[in-house]
Amino acid sequence: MVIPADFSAEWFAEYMGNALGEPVSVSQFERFTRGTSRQTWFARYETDDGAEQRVTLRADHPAGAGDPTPLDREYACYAALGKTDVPHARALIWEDDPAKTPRPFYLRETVEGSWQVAGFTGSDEDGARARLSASQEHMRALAVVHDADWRAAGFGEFFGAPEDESRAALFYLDLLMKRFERFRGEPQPLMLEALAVLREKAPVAGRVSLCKGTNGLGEEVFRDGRIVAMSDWEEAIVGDPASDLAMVQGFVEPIDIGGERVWDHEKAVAYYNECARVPVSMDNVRYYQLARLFGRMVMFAYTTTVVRASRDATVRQSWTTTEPQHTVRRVMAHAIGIGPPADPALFEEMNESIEMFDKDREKSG
Amino acid sequence: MIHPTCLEVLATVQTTFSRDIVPKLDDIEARSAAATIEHLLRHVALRIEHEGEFLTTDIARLSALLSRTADWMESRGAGNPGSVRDLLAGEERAVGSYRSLEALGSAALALRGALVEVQELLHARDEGDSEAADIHEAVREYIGLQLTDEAKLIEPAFSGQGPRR
Repeated sequence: MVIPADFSAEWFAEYMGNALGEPVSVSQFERFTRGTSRQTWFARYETDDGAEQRVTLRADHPAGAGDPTPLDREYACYAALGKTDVPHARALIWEDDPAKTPRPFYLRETVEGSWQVAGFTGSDEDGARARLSASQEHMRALAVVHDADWRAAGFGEFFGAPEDESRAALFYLDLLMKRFERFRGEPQPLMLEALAVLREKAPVAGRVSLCKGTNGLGEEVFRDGRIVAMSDWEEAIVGDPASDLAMVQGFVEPIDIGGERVWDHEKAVAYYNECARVPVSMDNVRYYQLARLFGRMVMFAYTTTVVRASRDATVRQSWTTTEPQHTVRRVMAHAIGIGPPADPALFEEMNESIEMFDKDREKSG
Repeated sequence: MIHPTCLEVLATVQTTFSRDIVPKLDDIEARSAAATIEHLLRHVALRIEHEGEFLTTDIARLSALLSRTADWMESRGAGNPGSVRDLLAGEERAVGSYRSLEALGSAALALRGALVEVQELLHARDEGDSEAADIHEAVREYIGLQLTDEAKLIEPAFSGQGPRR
């Protein structure tokens, strides 16, 4: 098998043909443009019997992932999710043989659906109801994640786990610092200040659970208003479930219906507490807003090493080391009493992609 | 070669890229990368213009801070003030000599590394050590100033300039 420099439809057809022991015809093999930390490719292929299969390929960027956790950890996470009730795409194949692939990858099922939620951006009451419904659905799904039996599924074996609830926050901080030391991140005085504050204020968790890590709009697969697969597990840990409620992109924003505030971050946590077996406290959620931000600092410090190490790093990775890294530093600094706040609108702006504007143009056209 | 300057050349690259190339891109991945490139070109232009000045200022701030810190370390028998003094002596020798941006960056990073080691000592200080508390406050002030400078290389390049990807 001739191995190309990068993944391609031709390579994929040959790889799957060899893996299945029969020829396959590939009708789609395209990369998802929004992915930043890793590459995601969507593929469709047919076997001789005409049955169409849809799979998703995940791999590090050629220069390396934007995230300091290894790809096989993510694969192991998906495999372990198969032993839980959490909606997810089933893990299929792990491959790291250089005689078969340009670089290590894994395949998982593609679950029919979209990261976008119909009507979510509408400015009328229907839009508000669509946002409320999706936000509640997300809280219910997070409760399922946290109620999962992480020990039985084996998450502790490859994620590690805190000894008990009192160690959850310190375990998380130690995990981040070990990663930072492993990839020899550049010295950042701000990190030391933030770490000292976070260690001093480390709370006791309500329980220790599987935590997804990256949450919110754009991270899950929706179909007909329901979450059919939870995606983006690269920041998953075993720890305080409050950490998952701390940074929830798009699903904890205020929603008003009929002049009444029906949803905001506190109401989202209250709703979650009705769904989950063990409640989380808003104090812990606030703590993890800072702790997760610290995690982002570590992640972006890692991305900096990737960009420095290879000209094959993507421009997206370069961007991550500039504006997002600076913004996270500003927010962290302000949170610990240093400097002015960052403009909250900036986060929404940084999440914009050109497809969103294409859709707006289509609507207005 | 002095003229056109790097910034003047870069400006023509930016204009040509945005005016003549970007509108002809159909592929979504290429358009997304082009959007990111437009932002990064603005950022690079700002760095060409200001980064040398900011790094020089950063080195001066760090040197002053670490000099004060070395005195405190000596008076308390804390850490290794000798290594901090060696680093500062090297910086003093470099004053007045030409240093590339990369060399300035490396010097600033070495000083930040020394500061990080000192911070650990400051966090473990005795409660009644007012000099340590003052130095710690100066460290926090330094962090704020460094971020303010960094913002000048970021905000004008990205904020309000359209989708990043």
